[in-house]
Amino acid sequence: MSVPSLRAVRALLALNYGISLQYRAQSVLWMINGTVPLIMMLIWLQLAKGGAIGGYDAKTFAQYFLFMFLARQSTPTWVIYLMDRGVKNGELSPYLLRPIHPVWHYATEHWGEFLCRMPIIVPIAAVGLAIADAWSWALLAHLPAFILGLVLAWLINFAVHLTVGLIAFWSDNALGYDTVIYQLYIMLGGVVIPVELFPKTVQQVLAWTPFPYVLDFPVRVMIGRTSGVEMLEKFAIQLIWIVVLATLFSWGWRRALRRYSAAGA
Amino acid sequence: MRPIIHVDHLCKDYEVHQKEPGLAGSLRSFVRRKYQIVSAVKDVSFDIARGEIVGFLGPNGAGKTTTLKMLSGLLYPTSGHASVLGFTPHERKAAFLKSITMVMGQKQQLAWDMTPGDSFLVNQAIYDVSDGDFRRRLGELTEMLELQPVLNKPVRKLSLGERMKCELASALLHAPKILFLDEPTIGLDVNMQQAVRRFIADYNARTGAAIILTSHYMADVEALAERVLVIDGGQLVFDGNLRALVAERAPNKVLRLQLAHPISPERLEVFAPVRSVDGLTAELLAPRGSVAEIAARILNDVPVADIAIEDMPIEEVLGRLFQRKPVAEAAK
Amino acid sequence: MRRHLRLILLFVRATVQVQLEYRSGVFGRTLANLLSTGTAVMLLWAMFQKVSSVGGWSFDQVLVLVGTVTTIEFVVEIWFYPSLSKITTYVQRGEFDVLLVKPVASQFLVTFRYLQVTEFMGLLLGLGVIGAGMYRVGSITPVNILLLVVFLIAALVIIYSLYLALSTLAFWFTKIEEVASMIWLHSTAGSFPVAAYPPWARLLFTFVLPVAFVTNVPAEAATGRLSWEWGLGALAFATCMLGGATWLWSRAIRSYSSASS
Repeated sequence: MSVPSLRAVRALLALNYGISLQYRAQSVLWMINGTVPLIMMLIWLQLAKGGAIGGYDAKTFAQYFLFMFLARQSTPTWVIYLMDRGVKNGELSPYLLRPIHPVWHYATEHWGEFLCRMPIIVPIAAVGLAIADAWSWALLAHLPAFILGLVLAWLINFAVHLTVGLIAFWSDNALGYDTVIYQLYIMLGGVVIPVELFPKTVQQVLAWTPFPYVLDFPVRVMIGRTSGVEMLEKFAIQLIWIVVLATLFSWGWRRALRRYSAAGA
Repeated sequence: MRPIIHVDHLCKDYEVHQKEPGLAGSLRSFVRRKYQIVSAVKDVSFDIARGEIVGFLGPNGAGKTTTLKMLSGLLYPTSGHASVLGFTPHERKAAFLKSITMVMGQKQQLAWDMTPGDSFLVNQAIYDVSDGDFRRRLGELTEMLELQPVLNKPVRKLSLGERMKCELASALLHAPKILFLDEPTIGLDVNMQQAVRRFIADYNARTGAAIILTSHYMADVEALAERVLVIDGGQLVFDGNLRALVAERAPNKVLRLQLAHPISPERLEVFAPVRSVDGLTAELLAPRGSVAEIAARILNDVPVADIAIEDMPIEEVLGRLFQRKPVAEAAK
Repeated sequence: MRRHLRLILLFVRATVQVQLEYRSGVFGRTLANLLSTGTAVMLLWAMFQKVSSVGGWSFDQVLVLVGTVTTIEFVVEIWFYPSLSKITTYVQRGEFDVLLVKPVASQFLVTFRYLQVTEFMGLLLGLGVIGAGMYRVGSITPVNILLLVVFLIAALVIIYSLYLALSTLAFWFTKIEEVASMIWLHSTAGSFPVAAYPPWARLLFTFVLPVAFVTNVPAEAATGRLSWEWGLGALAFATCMLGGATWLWSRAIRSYSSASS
């Protein structure tokens, strides 16, 4: 895949940001859907009233789920939906005619939405931290690593969905898989139960999947529950996932295009 | 001169699964699926030179659009080879994509919620057009297509015709050497169709870009294309001049009579088969070789105000060519 | 009435035919259902490794709750979602006129047009989990089963009304495709007893996002713990919601203007 000019990516981003701004009502609905971590926070806070659970006290739970909320809101992807629609209605054709890989169209659509969403999300998380009395200025030191972790997390997430989205070229039901990944991602990623609170064997199995690296890991970086060598190791695993998935995707993409029938276009 | 498009025994097969009608059929096909290979394009070969305008003709599903999509790199051919500007289209090299464009009348490429101007800027960046070239070309296109009033309105607020003009402008900003136009005038009103047609002809004259066009509207093809490729059932059945097509495939010419007073069809029947009689107008079908002779006899025997010798309408010639409907019915 | 039943049968038939076209889809989704239900139970188990009760409910009782959520989720997935989410599409493409000229009530058409009965596997799974939970609690009696059915239906009426009302917003905000995702939120929040939330959130989950009536009440009925106040409350709430959503729908139809013009 050739790398496009910075100018092209910036122009696409500007366009998609403009489009996102026009559909803020829709974004709000998305955000409501992204509040699962906040709901879980309420439950865990009630449970933690009887004392710390597995090393998580009330304050840790509050931090964990509020940053989980941020992480969840800044890394969603709906690229399977875009690919499915692209193949079914031939909406992919115009993208394929352009001298830039369609992936850039999809990626910038996500970034545009992200830019549009952040000014609403960050204040919500900030207010939450203030109310729960969970903020401390010491956390700020973890911010750069948190952001790096989130960028890598989004790339993993995007690459997983892109790769699964290739199913759209062979089957009419790629969207079904979107739901599966979404549920696994919520349930195993730490959105419902912090990954550290899973039984040890479950944690060991999960370590071989991308799920804990997409949400739980960046959040733990931010609240200071991982550091030093362990943290570097997990950043490395994130990178490995990205390389593996990107390779898998570009291999599948070439095959997918052979099958593309440009329906309806 | 070397052709810029060279197509060599190109084929495209699709695999479609067959289904018997009804719920029982659905169940059967669920358990055991039968596939059928449908050949959309069969062994098509042709060359196109720089600056040519070529019209693709054929009934629905004949393989016109499939061929166009293979030439623009959207589809992989099943076998055979196409070479466009020296590139193999389906490799979709950036340099190739930068020198072609495709406008699909039924598919829109401009961002629906933004203004055409916004989409133009994106295309400028994607196609790597310098600011100078961009301004100059946009200026030209704006003038030729009269875009000024619509440039800053959201695309969703534009009429179909305005949208199509913007699609054309957007597709041409990178000055492509080849234009693939798939039904560029579909759904447009007659005035707008003419405007688009005029623009395409102008653009070809000014830039020497080759234009390959499919259209349901014969008028598009008649007005623009010197050369037509007729595709039917996936096969190329004619390649040549439009007039030659008519001469070759239509054995009859049409004699159109303007009568001085009404005459019964039976009286005209003796000269040649009557195609229609409507008040003071009558049309006879005369074999190409004996048109002059028949016309002379009519002028002698029948009071006519005027007589004209015309080719059969192209639709009708094509109708015969595709053997979809008999001439008499097509005439209605 | 007979005519409507016949229409529903015809719609189901047509939908099944379409579904059968997409083989891998049916297999894929059955697998997905197993996977997600399995994971949900696993998650619950993991949680109860750390705590002994959630909101005063035991593991077995919450298991019935999870089964209830799964069941309702699948009804949404095979019925409400495929049918009602089309409303947005109709409005966006300006195809709504086609529906309006048909001689059948438009609400009936949008409700029953796409009933994907081929996906019934997920439904069995949900009922299976409820059954397993009830068995472990020891509450399988005819009365409890009857109450469960009654309150599951009330729950579905509430969800349907909520869904219809949200989809109806498509008439005013033409690009709402994410309405469906609201239901997921509902199912996460609903997988836990309302008593597990802080007091202010209990109010929210009872009246704004009616989790209490939709998931807690049927689960309580199944485990023989339902109080008559909550039971009556759920029935009354379902009636009001249905009335409200139907009213909103008829308002929307009246103010409808074709998107394509």
